Amino acid sequence: MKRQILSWTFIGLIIRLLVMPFSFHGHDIFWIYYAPFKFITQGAWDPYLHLSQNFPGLHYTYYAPFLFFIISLFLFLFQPLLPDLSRLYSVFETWNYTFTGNTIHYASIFSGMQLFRTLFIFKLPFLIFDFSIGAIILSLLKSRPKERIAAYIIWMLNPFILHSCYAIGQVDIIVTFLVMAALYCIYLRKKKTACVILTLGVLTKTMPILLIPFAIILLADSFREGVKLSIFSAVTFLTLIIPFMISSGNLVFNSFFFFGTGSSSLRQVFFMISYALLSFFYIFTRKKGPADFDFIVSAFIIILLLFYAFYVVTLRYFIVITPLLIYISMKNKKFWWYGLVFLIALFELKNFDTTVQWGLFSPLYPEFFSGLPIMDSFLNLKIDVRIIHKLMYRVFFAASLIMCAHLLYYNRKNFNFQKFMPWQKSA
Amino acid sequence: MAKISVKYTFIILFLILLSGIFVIILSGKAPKNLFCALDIGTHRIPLEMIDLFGQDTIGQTFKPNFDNLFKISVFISTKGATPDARVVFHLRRADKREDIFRKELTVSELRPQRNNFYLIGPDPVAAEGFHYHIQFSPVTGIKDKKLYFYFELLDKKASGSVRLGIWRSNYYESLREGELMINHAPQKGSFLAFRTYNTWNKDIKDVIRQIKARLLIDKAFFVFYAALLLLIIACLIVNVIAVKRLNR
Repeated sequence: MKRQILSWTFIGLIIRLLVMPFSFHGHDIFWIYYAPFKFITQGAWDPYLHLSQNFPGLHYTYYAPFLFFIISLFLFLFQPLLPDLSRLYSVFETWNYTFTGNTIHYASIFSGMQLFRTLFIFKLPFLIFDFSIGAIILSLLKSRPKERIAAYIIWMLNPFILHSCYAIGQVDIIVTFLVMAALYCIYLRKKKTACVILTLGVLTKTMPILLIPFAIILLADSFREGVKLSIFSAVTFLTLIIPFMISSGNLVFNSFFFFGTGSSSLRQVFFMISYALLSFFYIFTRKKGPADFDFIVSAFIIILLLFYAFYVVTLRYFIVITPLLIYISMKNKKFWWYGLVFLIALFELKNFDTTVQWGLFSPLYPEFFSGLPIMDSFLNLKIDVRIIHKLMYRVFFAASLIMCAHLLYYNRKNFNFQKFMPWQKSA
Repeated sequence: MAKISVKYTFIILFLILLSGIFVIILSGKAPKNLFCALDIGTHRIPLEMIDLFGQDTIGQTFKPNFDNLFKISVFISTKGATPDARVVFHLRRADKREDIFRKELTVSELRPQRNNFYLIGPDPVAAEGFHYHIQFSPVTGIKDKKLYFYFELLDKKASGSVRLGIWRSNYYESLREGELMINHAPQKGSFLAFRTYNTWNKDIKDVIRQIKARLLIDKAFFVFYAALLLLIIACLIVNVIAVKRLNR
């Protein structure tokens, strides 16, 4: 079995290496390294202050503080292998803050600046988080040898990771790793560590904030323990936030408000209502005693699916749920079908543009790859592709809600409905 | 095992059949030149509109970042305009008087274009208007050269309005140089809501040549990268052989 895992590790590594140096999207990966670059070269340790002072008209800020520290550490370690970034970032500043170029422009202007090497090294840290998630999946399925291998193979070939992490160059793999690490701690019954890691996830990219209340509800055996776990989370959060608050006031909080774009306020209200209802449902109906691990994984999946269905879904945000879907599908094969539907619906819905398909490979030849047609170009000759996209969103939405209901049913033994049905007690 | 093979063969045959049907349905409909890349411009809906009927010409100067310009789109609204009123689109070099391309259009022709091979992506028809795309033969030798396009109203007595979207800002997406022009006079800090598209019409040898040239810019990295890949592939082969031996 170890040999088999090793073979798939090599296959996964080869696929990732083939994509890493030759693709990126827009300004994403250069922006991720921009603030750490300023920190290492100019000592600008507070990116929020630096950006607000130097680019006051900018309508967005840098990512949350923990990501800033992680990327700074990697940049510090890998700097000797990188070309001179000051030239690259000087051009980047001109384009990013004045012309807002796209992939085709950055690929063209950076082509003479050892772009392949830069992209390769910029994406190297992702491999660590990616393969660590693979290791966690293997550990969680230790008792099921067949499923363990299948889950690992799927992780190695996970199209969401290959697209969003290695082709686009986004950092959601780090958040995914932190969520999985927290779940592994829950598996080992290390509740406090789990809450701390989930909070670090929030300090990387906001999304895990949705999971923390549920983690506390499901992990705490008593109200007192719940308060203790909340304090651990709060202390972790404040420890990292306070230095930035002292330095630049509330600017740091802007880094947490970035993912609301594109969703209507009605959908946001629906999400908040469903989230609140679900919280009450779990608080009042879950059976006393330590929660089953699969029950917690299912709860996390339900929350994330509601978030994607009602609030916002992109391929990169969806990465966070993929290891959880793989895990739960190994426990019950019926859940596979949902994964398949999500894959088809989201790749059609969210790959609407050349820039997120062939255009990603613009570093190899900008004019050629950015201009290549995609499947939608051909479909559009016969049918308005926006209709297909709307249909795909509805398919995704319906599949998400059905899966939520299915998961609640799957975990029905963990709920206690009897206290709401006194007639059953007397019967 | 036999069952699985039959099942997969059926799936593969079905997919081949489906692709065949797809190709037959669309044969002859796709344009000869399949390539289209957005260079300058945004998909955002402009907040402000300007009426062409109140002016002689409204246009925009710009410097393409790439060669082979073949399409320009402009955010437009024709609500209430006389349908047979004529508008002329001109494209020329900013420093020259003769047109590279000229097209006369009636207001009724200025409507959203559907089922277009190139018009994929978020190109909505909004309440404020839509992007009207004007396509022409690829214009070469224009990279970094300043171009100018403008709309001219031919029928001065036409009623209603043909309005064009504009942005007032200190930048416009991927536009290094250029501004809105009203009656051929530059309007600083304003831009027409427009997009430019480039195509690619070289041969496959050019692709190989370009990729090779780019790979060889950083030879040290290329050698390291190739060696790393070969090493991992070798490890994989050794491991697969070991697994086979163990299975025996």
